[in-house]
Amino acid sequence: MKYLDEYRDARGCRKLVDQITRRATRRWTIMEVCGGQTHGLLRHGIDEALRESVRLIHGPGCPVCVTALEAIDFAHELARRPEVLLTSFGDMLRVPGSHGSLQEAQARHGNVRAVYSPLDAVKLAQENPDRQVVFFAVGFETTTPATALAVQQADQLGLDNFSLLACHVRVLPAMEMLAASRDCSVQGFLAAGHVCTVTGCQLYEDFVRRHRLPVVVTGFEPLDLLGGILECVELLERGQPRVVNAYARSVAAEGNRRALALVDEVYEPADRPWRGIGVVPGGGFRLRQRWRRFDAEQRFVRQEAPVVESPDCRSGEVLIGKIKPTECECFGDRCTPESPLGAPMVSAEGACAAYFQYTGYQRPNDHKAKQIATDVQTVTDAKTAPAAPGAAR
Amino acid sequence: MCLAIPGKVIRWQEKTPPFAQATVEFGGVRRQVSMDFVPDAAVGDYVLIHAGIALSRVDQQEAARSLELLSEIEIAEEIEPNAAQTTVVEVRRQQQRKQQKDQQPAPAASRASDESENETADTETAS
Repeated sequence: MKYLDEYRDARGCRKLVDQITRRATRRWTIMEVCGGQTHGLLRHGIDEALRESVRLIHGPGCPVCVTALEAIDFAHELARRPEVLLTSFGDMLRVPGSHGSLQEAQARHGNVRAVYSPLDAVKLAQENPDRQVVFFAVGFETTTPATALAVQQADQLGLDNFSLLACHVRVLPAMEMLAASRDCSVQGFLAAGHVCTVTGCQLYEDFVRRHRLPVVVTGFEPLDLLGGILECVELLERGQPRVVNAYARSVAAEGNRRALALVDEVYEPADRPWRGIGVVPGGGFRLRQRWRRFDAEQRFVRQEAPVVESPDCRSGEVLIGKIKPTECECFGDRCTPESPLGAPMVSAEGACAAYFQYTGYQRPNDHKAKQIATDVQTVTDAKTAPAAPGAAR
Repeated sequence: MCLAIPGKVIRWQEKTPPFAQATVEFGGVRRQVSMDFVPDAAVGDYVLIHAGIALSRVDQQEAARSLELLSEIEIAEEIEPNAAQTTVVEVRRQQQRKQQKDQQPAPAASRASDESENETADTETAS
């Protein structure tokens, strides 16, 4: 496909890897904020190729992963109502809540639909006037224009059976939180390219000035990712914290004004709890007063029920880049894409899923087999060399 | 979730907001796409689609430029074997300087002048 295939050219990638390796005088720590980029980096082995010159930390940019458990449970509750048709992106349906995923709710109650676009949910509402169609709206600034447009369409069509369970999140407040935290080791950021197609690059100017960390707007194909990393390394080597747009074919400096205007008309910034992270000040959007009648939380009464989070899941630490997914004791063993403990293991943008798919991790059986082999070896060593316990660890 | 793919505008169906719509082709697959946020996109243009909604128009000049950049490196490496100092960023700067001289059409020229401001800022900080 045009504008995708050209940016997957292996020779070009090798050239860029070579450039980065030569340019870096030390190993720089760079965070890619977007989970889509995490997957790109791991799928193409870029993290390994740059191992010597760049340490990549994976950021919290997976909207499905940070959607609050309370919201998922509420969606679950809605899906149990016979009059409701609950819709969302396919990714969201796989995420585990306190009482299973929405996919499981669909199996049990049959009221859940995966849609490609929020506008498809508006169509469903038109076609099913006797059902209450709820769109479980998750996503960063890339997705907010789409759901804002859905609300506007529903308004124009006079639909009173369409509503949003709005759980949108904003990327900049999360970056602020990371940059301000005391143990932040990030030296430069790769900003999510598709968020910037909407917001533009200017919103990072102030952030860069205050934190003195370079931000490079980066695309998603391997050449884009490497190009972004090279720009970032260049800025770090020169000691120039700046905003650079390395994804200019899709991102205009001012973003998409029409989309921004509509989002501003429909939504206002609000504090929002991020799953595994806590409340991020200004970290989300809520519907403005004028549009509250499209708010599912206003339309349906929520039953207060305790949330049940897996005590062993360390997705919060994974999301802020504190640990790599493989450092979690449950990774690949008790937590797999088939039976996940946390959202990052099932989301197409989750870091755990990326590591599971692309890093050639050991299956639990291999892991156990290896462990047994080591144990046997230790025992044999201890038997054969009783005089030298140090040799047997 | 933030994944978006470029598609080619085949035919406009509807121009009235908030229902503006066009048929867009993605590598042979055609789909109706909401065009409210890119009302100026013409048939044949590529637009970036996320969740059924076009978010931006792919800038063909910029796209070509970043690829040219890579082919330039090849040449740079062939000409001077000790190309350790020539990075993509520098090649891009050289290109921009060249473009400024050539006086590009309006939109490209304004972007180029933006860059040149940044560049002056660079030299200032450097000195």
